[in-house]
Amino acid sequence: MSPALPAPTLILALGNPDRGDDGVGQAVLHELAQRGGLPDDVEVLDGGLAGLETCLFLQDRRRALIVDAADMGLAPGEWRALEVGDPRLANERRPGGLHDAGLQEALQLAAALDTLPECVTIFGVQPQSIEWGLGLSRPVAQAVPGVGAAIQEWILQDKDGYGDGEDPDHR
Amino acid sequence: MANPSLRVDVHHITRVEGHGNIVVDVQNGQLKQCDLEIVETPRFFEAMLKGRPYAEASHISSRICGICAVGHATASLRATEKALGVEPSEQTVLLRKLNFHGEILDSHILHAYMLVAPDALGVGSVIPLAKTAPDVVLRALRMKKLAGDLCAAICGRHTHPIAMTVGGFSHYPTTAVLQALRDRLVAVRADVDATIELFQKLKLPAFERDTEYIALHKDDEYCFIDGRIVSTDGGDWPIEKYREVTNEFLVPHSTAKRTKNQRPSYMVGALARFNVNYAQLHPKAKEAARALNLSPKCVNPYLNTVAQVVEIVHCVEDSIELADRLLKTGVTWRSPVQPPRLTGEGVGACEVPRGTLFHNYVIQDGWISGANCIIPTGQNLQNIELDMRALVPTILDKNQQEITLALEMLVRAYDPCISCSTHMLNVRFE
Repeated sequence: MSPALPAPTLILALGNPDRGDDGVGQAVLHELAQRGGLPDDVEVLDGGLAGLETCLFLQDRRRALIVDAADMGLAPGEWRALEVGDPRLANERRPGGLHDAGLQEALQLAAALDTLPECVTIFGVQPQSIEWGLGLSRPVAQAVPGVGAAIQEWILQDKDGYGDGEDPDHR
Repeated sequence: MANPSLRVDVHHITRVEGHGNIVVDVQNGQLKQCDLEIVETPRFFEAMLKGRPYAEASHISSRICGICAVGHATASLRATEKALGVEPSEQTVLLRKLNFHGEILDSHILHAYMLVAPDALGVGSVIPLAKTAPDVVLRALRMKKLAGDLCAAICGRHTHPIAMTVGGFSHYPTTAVLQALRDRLVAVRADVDATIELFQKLKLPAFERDTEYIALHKDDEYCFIDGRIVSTDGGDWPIEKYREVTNEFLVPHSTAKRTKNQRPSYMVGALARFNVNYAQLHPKAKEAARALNLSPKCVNPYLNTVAQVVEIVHCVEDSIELADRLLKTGVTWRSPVQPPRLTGEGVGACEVPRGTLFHNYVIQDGWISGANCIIPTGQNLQNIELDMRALVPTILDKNQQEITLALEMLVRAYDPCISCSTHMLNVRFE
């Protein structure tokens, strides 16, 4: 019994919505659902706190776009298109730890397994707060439509990344 | 002798959860110091539980550990249920067992494949292992994902479950979800067989030190939840008498309490369960133990990982049988059993991946007024240290790097969760 191949394009949200702005990925998925019109070959997935199992989500894809909160020292709500290996994705608390592996460890493992899609882009959104609590901060909530629009453009243009900025039109 | 004087100082041992150090000092061939220092900050969960309503206890205490969240929640619920006189239904008991197997599988697969196999295969970590043996790592990830999905289907999510509640569940898996999980458990048997083959090939150190092995026991099943406390040295205690077994004490170089029973230390975890409860293992797990050359009573702590592989077989096979029973009767919505009283004291005990876990609550008018949690790694620390003290004199002919690796592998074999016990690893040669 061999499972069917997954959709070639993956939009993957990571993060914990119980921790404030860490739920930005899930909010972006909600924004994409409201916008509608995603092509059939695009799968949208809420990975939550997937850890190393993120490798399995990425396996057998042509391209993947991952949305997650990332502390990049920017103003809250600013976002950046990051490449695999970007040091801003580091798990500062436990570098290299496997008991609470984060996105960077999963991407390292996928690279070692040679299962990374040809194109992987991470949309990192600067959080204001990832303390316990539901709901996004105002600046991060205001960034969500822009991130959604940029993802739609990324899908349609089949591009592998964007320049920096809050608004893709300003890149 | 190659090392008449030697100082090992591993500051923060890697590939374990939490922070600990190994310090070894040998002078003129004499072992002067051999300590396992625990340097994590105590976490005060018992104090956090005091003053909270009983229904919150399992949600708060599951935060003690992101790996054993289901285990802590289960021990917590059993403590509360016993305090308040709640008898869960058979359906709840079966679902809890299935849920529990998911967590044991998830943790054991991570430990055996990601943390121990790299040492035995002579690679530094799982990343080079992924390059040289991607099929091995992908297999581990597949198996881990099934384990996590099993937990999520039953308790809402694996890490910090949300659907487990006093007296039952607040969510139930549909028949279709349960059937799909059952099919995936059957399909994963091929990966389980490959896991046995892998560990047949791995060479682990041949160190032996006899100790007291303690585990929960039931006569009619390989026990993970409830039961009685049983020792390989003889002795059988109701779980309410856990303090007579754990006898906690302090040492200056550790922020975690130590325990001892009939000897200066005892061991809990997969190897202890295997030694105490071999007769209750699933027949296929016994077959796996034979294939892996593991038989009770095994006194090589490095083989704790092999006992974990045997438990992987047991949990997969028992999960299939539990799923079959649930599918036969059908899982139906039932409101959680309500407590007949709101005041009392209870002890919950479970065999979580790293060993026996106790939660003890005093509840008054529905509010927790006292709590005590004893974590498996805390119970193993003294045994690890005594293993280290027995091991070092036998390996002084090796170089410092080899001695350090042997000590790190020994500590890792216990699959310690130091964050939880303070509530390890860094070897310092001095």
